[in-house]
Amino acid sequence: MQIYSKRAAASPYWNEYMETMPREKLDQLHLRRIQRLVKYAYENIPMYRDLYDKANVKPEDIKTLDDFAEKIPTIDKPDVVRYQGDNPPFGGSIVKDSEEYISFYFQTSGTTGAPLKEVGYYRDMMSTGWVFKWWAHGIRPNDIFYVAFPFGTFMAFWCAYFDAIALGAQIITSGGLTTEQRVRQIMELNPTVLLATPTYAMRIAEVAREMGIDPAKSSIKFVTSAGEPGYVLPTIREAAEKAWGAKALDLYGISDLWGSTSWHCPSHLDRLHLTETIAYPLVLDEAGKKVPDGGKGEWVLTNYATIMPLIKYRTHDVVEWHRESCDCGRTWVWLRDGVLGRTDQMVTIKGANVYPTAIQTIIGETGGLTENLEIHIATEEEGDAVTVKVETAPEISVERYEELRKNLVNELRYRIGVNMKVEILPPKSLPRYEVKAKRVFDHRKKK
Amino acid sequence: MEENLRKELTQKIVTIRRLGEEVRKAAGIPCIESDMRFIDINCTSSLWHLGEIDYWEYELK
Repeated sequence: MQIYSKRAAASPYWNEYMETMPREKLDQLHLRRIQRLVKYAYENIPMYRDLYDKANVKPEDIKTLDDFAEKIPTIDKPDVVRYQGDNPPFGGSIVKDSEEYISFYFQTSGTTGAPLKEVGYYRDMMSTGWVFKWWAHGIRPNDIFYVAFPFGTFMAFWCAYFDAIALGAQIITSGGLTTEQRVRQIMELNPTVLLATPTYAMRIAEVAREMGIDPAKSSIKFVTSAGEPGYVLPTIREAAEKAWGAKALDLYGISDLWGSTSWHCPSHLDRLHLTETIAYPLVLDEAGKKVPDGGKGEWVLTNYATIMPLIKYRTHDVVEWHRESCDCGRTWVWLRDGVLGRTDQMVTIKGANVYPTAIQTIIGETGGLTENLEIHIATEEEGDAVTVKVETAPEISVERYEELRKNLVNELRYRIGVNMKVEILPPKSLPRYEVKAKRVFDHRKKK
Repeated sequence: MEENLRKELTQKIVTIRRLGEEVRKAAGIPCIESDMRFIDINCTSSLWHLGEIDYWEYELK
């Protein structure tokens, strides 16, 4: 028995019709969905009625996608949290009288303020944001997923779990197990796809080696990740591929927006495609104006969710977007090098705008150092200051630390144009993380 | 449930299965085949709850 027909199984696309739809037709579809969504939200979600009344805009004013970009105000996480706080638990942020339809409850971690409560209908979870990537890279129902994730309160890999069900693959969950137990399970059950954050995938490999097991010789053929700057960056990808002897696939999603994912192009490893069946993208500059194709700005998304849609939601992620078709045949918007930084983590050092991810990339390309690092940002007399703490590879002797430090200081100064402090640390000095690694520590006082 | 409703439901599910097969042949789109598969699972599940079928007759043929 085969789950998929021969024709479907041979398709390089999860949904060729949508993934290769000509841009003009795709934009017409987006416009139709946006117009309906804005009307639906205005009539049923008090938060949007307030917002649009204050902006003096009505649903019928949205006649084009440009109208949507220019007239509809953006919404930010604190706005949604405030509406939820006014009348807990969900306030005016969800469709009125929809409580009976709520199938799932999640919340964000709350590391940048009060957590955002997210609720959705079963349909929202079935949007298959991850499967597009898996299918594009040749993962099929006979693959076995190993989900090395604790299944916490935030959505993250829950979507992936349901997507693996939609694909028809076998799923092994490892919530509650230690890393050593997970290594043993991988060796015993022979999964072919490892699902973990990039940091934790490397941690499992590290523990496996400590147990005398070479992860590169395991059954894993794909490492598929999300949650942090990941495999779209060559150094992080190469480290994972070397450690696991497997293909590393990236995915950038935002938990607040359900499965609004962007994922690794099969033809260009520096590109992530947005799943345009689920969300409509915009990139805006600091003044809120749409950035032309190829430009950089803030990623602002609208998701087509049922109970709690987020319309022109500010992600604070900085991206470079492209709307031209890709060689892989897809017409879906793509981002070069994934997320370039965070608008709220940008550091201004002597007039230069610096994003921590740029620092992370340079460190990854510097020999003798590992992917375990911390970037500390503080305010000093002359403005923002950055201190980078980074671990050496195990084979590096202490005598070489000063040489590595000088090299990295020079490299950062040459490529970013400013001075940063660097501390070289012995292996295993920095904490390890099971979910998202904390790499950036912003000690600046909030204005 | 009345006997005629049981029969009608059975007939509807036969129709849905046939439609699912036709969609598979015509579209060849994996995500649609995945959706059709779950329609099938849910429909045959309701027949199972009425005691009309056993799963293995359908799923792993």
